[in-house]
Amino acid sequence: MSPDPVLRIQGLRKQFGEFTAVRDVSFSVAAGEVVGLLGPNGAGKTTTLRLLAGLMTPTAGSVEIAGISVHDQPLLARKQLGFLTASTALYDRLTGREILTTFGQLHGLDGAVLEARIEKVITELQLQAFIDKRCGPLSSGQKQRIGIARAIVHEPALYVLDEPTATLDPIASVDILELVKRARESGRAVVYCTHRMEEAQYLCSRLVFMREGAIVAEGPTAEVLKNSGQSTMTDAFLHYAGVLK
Amino acid sequence: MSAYTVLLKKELLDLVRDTRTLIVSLVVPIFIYPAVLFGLGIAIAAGLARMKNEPVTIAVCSDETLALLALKPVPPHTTYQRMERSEAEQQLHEEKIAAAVDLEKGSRDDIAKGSQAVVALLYTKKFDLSKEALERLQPILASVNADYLKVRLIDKGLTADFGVPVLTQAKDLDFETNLGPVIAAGFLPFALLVMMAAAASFPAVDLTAGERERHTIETLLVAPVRPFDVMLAKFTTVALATLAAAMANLLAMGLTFGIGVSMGPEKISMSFSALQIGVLISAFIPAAFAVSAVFLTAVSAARTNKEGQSIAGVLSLLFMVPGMMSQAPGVELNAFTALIPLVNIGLLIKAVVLGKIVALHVVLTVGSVLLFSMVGLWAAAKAFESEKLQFGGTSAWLELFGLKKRQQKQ
Repeated sequence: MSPDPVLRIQGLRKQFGEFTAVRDVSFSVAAGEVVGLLGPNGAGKTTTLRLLAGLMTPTAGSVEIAGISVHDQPLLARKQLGFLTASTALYDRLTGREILTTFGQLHGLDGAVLEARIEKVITELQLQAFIDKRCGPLSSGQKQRIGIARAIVHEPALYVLDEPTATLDPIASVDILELVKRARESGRAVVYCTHRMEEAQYLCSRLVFMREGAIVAEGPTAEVLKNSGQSTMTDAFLHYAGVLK
Repeated sequence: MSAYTVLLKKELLDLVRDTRTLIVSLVVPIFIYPAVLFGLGIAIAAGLARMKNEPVTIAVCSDETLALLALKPVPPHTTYQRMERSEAEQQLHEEKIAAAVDLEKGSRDDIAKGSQAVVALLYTKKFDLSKEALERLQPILASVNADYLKVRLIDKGLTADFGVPVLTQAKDLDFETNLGPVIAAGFLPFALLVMMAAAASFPAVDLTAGERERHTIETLLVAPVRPFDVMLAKFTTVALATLAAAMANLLAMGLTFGIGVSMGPEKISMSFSALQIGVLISAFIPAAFAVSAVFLTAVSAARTNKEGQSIAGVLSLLFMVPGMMSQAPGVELNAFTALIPLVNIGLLIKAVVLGKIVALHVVLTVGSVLLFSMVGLWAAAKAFESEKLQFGGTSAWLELFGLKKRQQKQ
């Protein structure tokens, strides 16, 4: 782990009344590292990601992105964040290009720089055929690719991708996996949330496994697999989820 | 470019591509006023003409009554039928006849002696033909009465004027020949407030509950923007849509009444002076802010588009109340009513249409509505900054305004 991680989460806790959704979660992600955030539904992953993005205020603990406190300086911290939510969220009446322009401008980009960034993500994600069409009628795969482009158009230091391949066919999924690999190679830090264990094994150098709001396993991917006592990632998932003993 | 400007540009682009909102805001007004003024006028006139040509049977309850009616020609499409009063009442209830006439027994002798005779006209408002029968009978009996009076006055050596010592001649100094402003003042405040509410409801729901349902609000809030900027851009967008609807209504109404229609000797037309237009616009702007703030605050509690539409539907109905209150008899714009948000807008529109502009009332109305809008804006801003409302929670609204203790940070 790098001494200066891009993402540092310490003692994160979130309570809704008596219910504790996230309990004392701590982990970090260094530049050039892909960390898989795994766990069954209801494990607290989405709440952790919302806390990470400053969408929710933690009951306790802290989140720093590139050394900037998300709680104290949310706008500055979010400039370093590319966040793709689990559901494909696009404006149906806008074109892909208009969405990229809007979000690029919200991140402070403009003019030739913004144009260049947009063209770059269009090429990287192969959006040429539909980037100038309104998003409403696009297929879920096309929407997801525009969603990813929207999240990374400002070239953030940290990518947070919540199930980016959930709605994609295997061919389109490969493109996304290659994009994440390239991001890792270019020094981005990536938090990758997925239920596809083969993707986690392929991409992630480390895994953070959550259950009932807490981290139940954390470490290099091979080590987490080994400690589960299982031979496959899927069985390891079931083990940490409490399904396989 | 500021975040607010970028967001506003995005919201407006999204809005102008929303066919449903455009139809409600801009297209409906183009049709509603001609429909009301011309369509309804034509329908009423056609209905009245049809009634005049409908065959009507009127029961005559005694020979004495028949003799009285025989003094005048039978009205067109009318038949007198002799029957007893009890039977006439029965048939009237059964809508077999349209009316009955019954002169008290011995009345003709009373008339001859110079006394007063009483004639009963039996009808019912239950069906229109009965009212039509009444309208056919009243001029006949009035004419008979006038003839007898004339004879009595001549017998006494008096002129016809003697029987009418005071002749009343009412004259409307402002609207004697043109009822346009009176009609417009009657329905424009109500129509405008309802149309503004309708125009605000679609974008308000779409930009709040709709965004939450589509999860686009999350993508906005993870961008480096203040929730207040997000809310302000939405508020501006909804207010602009509402204002556009108000202006479209004013334009459509202005064109419709500008062309005008004639109804007999009376004309229905009107035109606005530059001052009237100026005051109306100065009222529309704060009204658009107020309507937008109310809708945004209310629907921001909705978690789905459907829920938002339900809230907006109820709210749209509630917006009829200030419109109707502004039409209540005796309720006019004054220093007190000018302080009641939205009712004051209705009253101001009514006053402007009738040409009764008082500067103090305009200032009080605009000022109080702006103040009301700012409170609404504050509430909407609180809603947008609330993670409870963004991500749900059973008691979110109570906590939002301090009615329930917030969860303490540990």
